[in-house]
Amino acid sequence: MILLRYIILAPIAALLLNLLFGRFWSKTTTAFLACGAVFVSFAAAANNCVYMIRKLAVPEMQTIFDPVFSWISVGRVQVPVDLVFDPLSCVMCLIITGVGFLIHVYSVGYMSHDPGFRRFFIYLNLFIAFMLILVLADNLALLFVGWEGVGLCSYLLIGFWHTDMKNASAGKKAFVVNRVGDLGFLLGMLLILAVFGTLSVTDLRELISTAASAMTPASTAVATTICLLLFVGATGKSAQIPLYVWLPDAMAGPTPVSALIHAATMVTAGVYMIARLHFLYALSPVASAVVAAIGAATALFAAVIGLAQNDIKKVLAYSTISQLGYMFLAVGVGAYTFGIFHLTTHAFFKALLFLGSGSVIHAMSGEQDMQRMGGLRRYMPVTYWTFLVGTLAIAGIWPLSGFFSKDEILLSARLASTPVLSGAALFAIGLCAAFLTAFYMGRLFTLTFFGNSRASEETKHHIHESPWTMGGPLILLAVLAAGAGFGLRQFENFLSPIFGHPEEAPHEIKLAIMAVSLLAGITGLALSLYVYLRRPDIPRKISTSASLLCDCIANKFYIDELYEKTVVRLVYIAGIVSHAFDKHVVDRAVNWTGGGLRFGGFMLSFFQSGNVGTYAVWFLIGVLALLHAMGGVHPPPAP
Amino acid sequence: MITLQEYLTVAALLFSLGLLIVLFRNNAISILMGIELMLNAANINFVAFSQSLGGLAGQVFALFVIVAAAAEAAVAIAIIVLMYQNLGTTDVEKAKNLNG
Amino acid sequence: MESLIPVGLTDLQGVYPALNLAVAGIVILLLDAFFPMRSKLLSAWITLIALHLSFTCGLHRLTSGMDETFFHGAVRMDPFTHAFTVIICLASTLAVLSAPKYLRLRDCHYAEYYALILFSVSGMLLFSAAEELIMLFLALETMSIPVYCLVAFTRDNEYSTEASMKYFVMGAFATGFMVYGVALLYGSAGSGYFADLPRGAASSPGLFYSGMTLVLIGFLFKIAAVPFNMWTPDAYEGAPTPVTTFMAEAVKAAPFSGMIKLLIVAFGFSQAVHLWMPAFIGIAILTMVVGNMVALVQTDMKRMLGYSSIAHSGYILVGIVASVKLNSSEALASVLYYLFIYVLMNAGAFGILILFSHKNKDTNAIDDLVGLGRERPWAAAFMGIYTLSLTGIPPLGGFFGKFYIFSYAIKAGLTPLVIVAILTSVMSAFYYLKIIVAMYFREPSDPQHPAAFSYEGYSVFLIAMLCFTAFGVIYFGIFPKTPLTLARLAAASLIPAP
Repeated sequence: MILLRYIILAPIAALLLNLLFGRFWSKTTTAFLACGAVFVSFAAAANNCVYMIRKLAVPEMQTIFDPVFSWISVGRVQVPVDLVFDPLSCVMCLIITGVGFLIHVYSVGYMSHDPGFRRFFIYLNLFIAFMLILVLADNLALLFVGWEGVGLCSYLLIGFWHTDMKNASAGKKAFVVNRVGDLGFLLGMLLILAVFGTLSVTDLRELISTAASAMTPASTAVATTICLLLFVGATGKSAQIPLYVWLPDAMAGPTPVSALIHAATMVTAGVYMIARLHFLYALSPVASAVVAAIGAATALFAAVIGLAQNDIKKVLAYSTISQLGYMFLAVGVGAYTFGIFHLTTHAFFKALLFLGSGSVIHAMSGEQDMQRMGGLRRYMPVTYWTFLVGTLAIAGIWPLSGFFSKDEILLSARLASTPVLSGAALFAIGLCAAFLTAFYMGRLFTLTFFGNSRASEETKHHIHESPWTMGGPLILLAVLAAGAGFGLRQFENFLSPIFGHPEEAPHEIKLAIMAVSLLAGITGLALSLYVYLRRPDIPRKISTSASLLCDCIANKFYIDELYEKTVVRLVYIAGIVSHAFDKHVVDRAVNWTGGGLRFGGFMLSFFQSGNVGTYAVWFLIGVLALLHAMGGVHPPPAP
Repeated sequence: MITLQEYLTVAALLFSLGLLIVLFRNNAISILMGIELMLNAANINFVAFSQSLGGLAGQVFALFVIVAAAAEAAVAIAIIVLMYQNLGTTDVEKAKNLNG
Repeated sequence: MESLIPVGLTDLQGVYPALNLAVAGIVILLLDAFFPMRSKLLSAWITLIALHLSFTCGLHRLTSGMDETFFHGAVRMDPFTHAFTVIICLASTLAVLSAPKYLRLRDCHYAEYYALILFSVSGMLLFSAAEELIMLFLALETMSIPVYCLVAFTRDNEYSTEASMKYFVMGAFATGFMVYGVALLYGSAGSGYFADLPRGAASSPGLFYSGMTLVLIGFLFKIAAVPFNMWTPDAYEGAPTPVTTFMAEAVKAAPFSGMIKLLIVAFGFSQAVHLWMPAFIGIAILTMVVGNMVALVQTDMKRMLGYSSIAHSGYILVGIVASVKLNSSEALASVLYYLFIYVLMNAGAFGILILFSHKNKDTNAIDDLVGLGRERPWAAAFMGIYTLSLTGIPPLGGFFGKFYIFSYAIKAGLTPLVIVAILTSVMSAFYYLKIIVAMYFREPSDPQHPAAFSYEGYSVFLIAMLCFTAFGVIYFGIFPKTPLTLARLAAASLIPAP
């Protein structure tokens, strides 16, 4: 067993070394340090995981606890920096460090020509460290530190090429939208502190398990409020309706960043948080139902928008939002294990898809528009085959991993009944989204790899397969994305100490749902293949005949514009007003105070004449004043 | 027989005298002498108390104060010499480059 | 009363930390007289080793909780004393580390410098150990007289001379009052021992209270409380910078140790000390307001830090008032922690000034630092850490120091005082941030200016000192547990738990 703090310390050490001394050594050393540190974290986490599996039979040995130090201790508020490693954080750690390591290696190739190479790896390591803090934290306050930290890194990395105004403003957008969510999270956290008097998840869990029997309607209402507030935070971080708008813009960052932060790890923090606090959500059926409904709605909504995007990364971005919706659907209906399982498989195949698209973009000299691609199958065999695996996995084709995780979620949704939407409705929405997912992924794949090249001659000339640092991670991720599904039963067992064993569904329903979801995937893929390969005129016809609808979809339902016209406008007006107030009232007050103080200091400094005689006089005045004061207060002499 | 009261009065007068010298003379050497007067006023107190209360502690006190005063005087003279060398005067009024 | 006071070996062992330094000082003087060497680094090393020995001895005694009296009760070595032994030795070590470079540039790198420092420190170490008035007075004089000499150490510098003259005149003046006060206290109690003072308060309160006032004034002078502060800015500005460092840390911390002990042990027996508290509160407010306000208009950093050190005395006074009111060792521990952090951050800030001092010119004006952020990013970052800590920005040590003191003051019901303290801290941000603005955000008007940032007379000692202080300010800010635990141990020996 390795102390948990070292898992976090490794990337911090690497980033400090690179920050302080990076200029003295080569890019190779920088890259080696950055990747090596993440690998060390991975090895440490894996080692602890093995240790834990060995001890799985002993219930109290299932968590590793590492109290690092007491951070804040003010009266009732105790915020110790305690790290906890249980099956859930183990899974997250392994994803973060494992996928993170592969993406680090990939970035070495991807960023090799970038002048900001060192800065990039410093940010990435910082991100890994914060993400590990987030998942290892036992205390919600510490979790919040990680939560904000990854938000900061996301902001820095989206705006990595900050000289371009568009990228910088995308970073800003992500930051601002996340602040809205964070406000909810913070309020929820404070409410927890006020109600339970602790922020430690372990303590909370014990408190609730003892108090669960004595629930009153009032306490249920409090639990619902807390859960909903926390969920607002989750919608911000995990890009759900209504706060999803930042994620597509976040694609302005370098592609490895999109893969690591905006697909595999950070955006799943909301799902993780709900799974971590599942005992709290179990108290409130309403809040859980809202989570499920929002998740399902987002899954469908984002998939629809994904249909009409032409930017390869935008399609993947909407697909991420949609898949995150699935995860929320899962945790909302209480299928925490499957939500986390989908999180895991999604981390594999979505990272794979993003890295594959990065490889494509790299080869196409930065071109991201699918309408100018095509026929890349011949030029980039590694990318092509691995991308194929990713596409099949996300579309939910047996036996790839996406099939298993998605199928289980649909099954759980079908069997659930929530106060907001019935299980059947959730299932139907989920199935539609699955069909659409398969369709837009098929479209993406066809437009990119099949047919004839539509690129300009000059770009065509440059097309090349990516170097091994990029190909290697692709292949490894493809293997994981293909095979991870078979680990489902072991995964269930591993997480059972936290979430318990899910109920066994009747066999026939299980089979039926498998068949239906597989069918949805296959038809979606087949249809898109047929349409975009054989009948490219159909989409054009649809867009002319139903131009209004298509415009609507292609413009993302004008949600951005809506926000622009309402919220942003309002905030802007408020900004102008407060700026005026600041300038004319606050500033003046501050200036006058500052001026007054300076004037006072100036006057007082005259006493400091430099003449030692004057000093002695002031000294004497002090003595006399004190003697006088003391003479007045001391008790009268004893007779 | 001189009473304790009388000793204390003389000491207080001596102290005030020293104080006034420090306050109103500008010559560094005069100021040093004023300070010596203040210290010696305290010494008179020590010895007077020692006599009236009995015991030698007060006289030992006085001896130590004399020693310390001698050390201070040595340093003071050195500083005054330096002052004369560097500033060309022993008038403390003239030394006010450091102010504000 | 015994005619001859026998002094045994145990007594000498008891005051080992101080004795060790005095002997080292004499050794340095003799060595230099009989085997003069051009490089005075040997003296510096002897000084550092002696300070280190006293430091480890103090730390060891602190952790082992030694509490004994020596010299017939005149000296008491308790954990409180040991804690100050540690703080003062640390502060002096930092000051000594910063010295060689500066003195070499000024052509006055003499062995006497180290001997004087050692003599002064040996006085300081007895300060907090004294349980008897004459001991206290002697410790004070042993501490002060070498510092008068040190201030004038750059002999041909008129500012240095003027500073020394002012410091001496005011210091001796204050001593005069204090000795008079000691005489009155002795007259009231018939003995110099702290333990006998209650008798004096009962038999002749008039003498007692006047004496107490005069003695405390001596201390208020040493810690530069308003209105006894006037010497501070002048002496700080005129003195050679390493000496200023020494004065702002060790010569400041030691009187605090003596004053705390006096207040709690000598005068803490009755209402006596509580009668004093209103006066202390008034002085604390004056000190914070005047120190911070006048610092606002300073352009010379040494002078500004002088005023800022006056202001910090005010904060520490707040802590002392709170610990006396609460009679709580926890509150007193926060004062010790604050002093510890203060020593670190202040030494660092002066160290940066020494780093960029040149043969003919000091780099003291705030304007001299313009463009430092671009030219010397490391030095600027360090200076940034020190100034932010002095301002009290979390998570640096300075923040937690203030935070602990203020929270205990609120607990003691001193809310108005804390409000003044916080407002003045905000005020202090104006002038501390001026340094940061100069380093990072101002454009040098003179393109040749950055040449001022060359390192002349590079010194490993100085670099080590800067690294240590910067690290300490950050580390002990985030992990305050070790110093706080030790401080609580020390404070508990003075104020036993109720």
